Amino acid sequence: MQNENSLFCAKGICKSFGPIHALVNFDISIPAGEIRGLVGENGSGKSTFSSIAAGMQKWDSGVMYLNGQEYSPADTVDAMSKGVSMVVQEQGTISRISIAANIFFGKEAMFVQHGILNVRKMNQAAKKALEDIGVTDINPAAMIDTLSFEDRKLVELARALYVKPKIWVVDETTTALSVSGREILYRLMNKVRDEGGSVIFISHDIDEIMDKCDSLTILRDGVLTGNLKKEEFSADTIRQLMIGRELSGHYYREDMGEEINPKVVLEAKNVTSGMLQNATVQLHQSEILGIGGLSDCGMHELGKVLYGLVRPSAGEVLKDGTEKVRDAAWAVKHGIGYVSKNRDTESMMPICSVRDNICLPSLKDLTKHGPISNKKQKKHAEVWARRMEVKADSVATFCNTLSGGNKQKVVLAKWLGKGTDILILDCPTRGIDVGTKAAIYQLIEQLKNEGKSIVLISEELQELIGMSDRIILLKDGKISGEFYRRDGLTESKLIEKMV
Amino acid sequence: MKEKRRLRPDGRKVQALLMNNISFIGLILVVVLFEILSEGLLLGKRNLMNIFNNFFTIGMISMVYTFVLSIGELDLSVGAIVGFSAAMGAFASKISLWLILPVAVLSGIAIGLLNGFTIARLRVESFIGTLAMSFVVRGLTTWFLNGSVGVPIQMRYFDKDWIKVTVAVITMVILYFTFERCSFGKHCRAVGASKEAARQSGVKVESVRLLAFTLCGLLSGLVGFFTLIRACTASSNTGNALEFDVLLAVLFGGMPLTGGWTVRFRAAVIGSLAMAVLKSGMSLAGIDGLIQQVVQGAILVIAVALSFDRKNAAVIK
Repeated sequence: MQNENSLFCAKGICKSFGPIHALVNFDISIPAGEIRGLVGENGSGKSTFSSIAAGMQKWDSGVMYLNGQEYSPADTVDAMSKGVSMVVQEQGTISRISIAANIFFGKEAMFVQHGILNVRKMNQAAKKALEDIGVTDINPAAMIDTLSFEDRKLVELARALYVKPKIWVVDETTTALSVSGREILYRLMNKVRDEGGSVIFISHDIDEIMDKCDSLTILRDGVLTGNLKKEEFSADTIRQLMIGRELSGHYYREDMGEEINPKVVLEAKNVTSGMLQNATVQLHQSEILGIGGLSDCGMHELGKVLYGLVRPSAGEVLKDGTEKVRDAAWAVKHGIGYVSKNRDTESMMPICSVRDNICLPSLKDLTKHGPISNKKQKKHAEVWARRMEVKADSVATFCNTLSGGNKQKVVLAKWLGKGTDILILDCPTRGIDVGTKAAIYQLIEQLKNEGKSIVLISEELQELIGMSDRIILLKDGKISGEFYRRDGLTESKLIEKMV
Repeated sequence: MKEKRRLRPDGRKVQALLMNNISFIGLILVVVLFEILSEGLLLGKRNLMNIFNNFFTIGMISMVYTFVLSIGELDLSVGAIVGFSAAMGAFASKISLWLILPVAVLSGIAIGLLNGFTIARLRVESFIGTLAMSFVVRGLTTWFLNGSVGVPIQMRYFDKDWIKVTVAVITMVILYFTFERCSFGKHCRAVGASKEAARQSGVKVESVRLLAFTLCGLLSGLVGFFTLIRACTASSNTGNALEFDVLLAVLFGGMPLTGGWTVRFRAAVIGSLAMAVLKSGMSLAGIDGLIQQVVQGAILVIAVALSFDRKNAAVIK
């Protein structure tokens, strides 16, 4: 069924990892000049397919065609030379070398004169490559490490586009970018399309997918569940094809909020630390307190200060109005839990089993006559992994083999198992599929109903409005507004105080 | 689905089993090889105690080294600590013979604490910090001793096989238990796996590091005591280059230098046994001292190459 006018087409692609079938007989056909969205829950096989197309891993069976010719990339370099390039979800730049060297990594030969690398020429070319994608404020001679995570992503974009790809794979890159970075990415995707190439775009954000893509391919558990054209797009249809069942009506909380319990359980008093200036925040019993603002407004810092990870330069953090939060170990001991926004580096140990991750803060409770009991550990981990519906072969599975949503479930299971009363969640749904997102929202609501108190730090306004009893907004490190759920919340009201 | 290393297919199960037990297989190979080369002398009754004495020094420290390595740190000062505590013990014997053991152990603890403080509080890289410490301590030892200092010959009484076997077994049981079944052992591995994740899960990262180095100092002090009473003299050569024997042993045992959850306690025991057999076997087989070094170096490279990426963990930082 090789389509005459398709630029890229794959037929019957299968790939398994041991007993897990990541892709089963997957077919896709992408015509030239199209932005094709690839959607599915975490673990549905979309990243597997895109990494196969980009030459990052081998497939078991099936054929791929590019421009009507059989296409079987040996590796990423081969794929790139044939016109398929990819921007990955994780950080893809190389530390401790210059920005220009990153852009032209592996292509340095272009700038060699008389056996010597002409760095000046390479920097000029890098500057041009960056300007081509509309970035003018980055000096290509500087070290890559001087850039923020977001700017590094832009450098990766420049590198991917320098080769003028026919097929450009963009794998969940938008979560790492701010609004202006996203604008650049969208413009570049349109540019590739207008020049006769095609884009394979992977994202968890359904609104974004519906807005930017010309057509969609939807996967569930490694199986193709549908292809949609632009005119057939609707959020409900897409969700249904992704999850295979109707999502239960409530995604966020549905109640309109009630009187807030007057009892203060955690309190930051006139705290100054880093960006944060003289902030006073009180968390009440069984309250969901949303904290929002632009990404560098100090809200992430506030989360760390509340947990005792960062000692404020002025002010103090008190639990139950009297006891001072000394450090993270103290906080854990006194029933406070924290979920970092950097899941892989801060909130979990990747080269470590699900069991050991879940048991780590609770070891003291898993003893039998003194020593830690292996049986109790296993049982504890199994109970809480099942409670959070972690998809893993067993609790001995290493966490680095799990998908993003499942990793986050493990992190949450760790704190639920510890029985924490106060949870500080910093962007808990970042880069997570719709199904897991819904599960996390339900969990947060349930914890609130059990009388636990939650600090929800988020960059997504919809999430804050949907979940919080009360929202505190920060702007340039200072508290700029406070809103109550029971008074009604709207996005425009919040934005007014944020910028 | 991003899963890359799920369950291995059946055909690879045997290979996986072999790779997981490669250090054990290595130990058996070494034993068999030298048993043949030494024409049966290696496992002879007299030589077994010889092997044990080799094992005692290396093994006691290797076992405690498990804690330091699982945090992802190194301690290059253990040899120097052994020398220092032996010297301090020898001086203490001038006052009272009963002081030798406590003084030796306390000197070890003191240097271990200093190591821990340098690394955990002053945030010096352990490689540099302990290397510098070994220079300082060795220098001090040589200066204090000014040659060598002896202890009365009756102290030999404590250099009995049954005493050392008992001490080694008790140490092994306690350390194994601490490593596998106590929070401290788990916390060590958590810090090695991800310092930040450990901290955010309530582990007192600095205390764990401090304690691991202190423990290492304690055991080195104890070994210093036994080295002293065996030779009945402390010189600036006592414990020389022991840190490399220990490092060789744990690497032979398949310990990853990156630390974390893939560190196994048995690696220290198997590795030290293999090293002890190797040393004794090479002497019995009449291999020249210089060649012995060449063999040890070659074995180290092979051991590290074979054990590389056995469980997702890199061996060298």
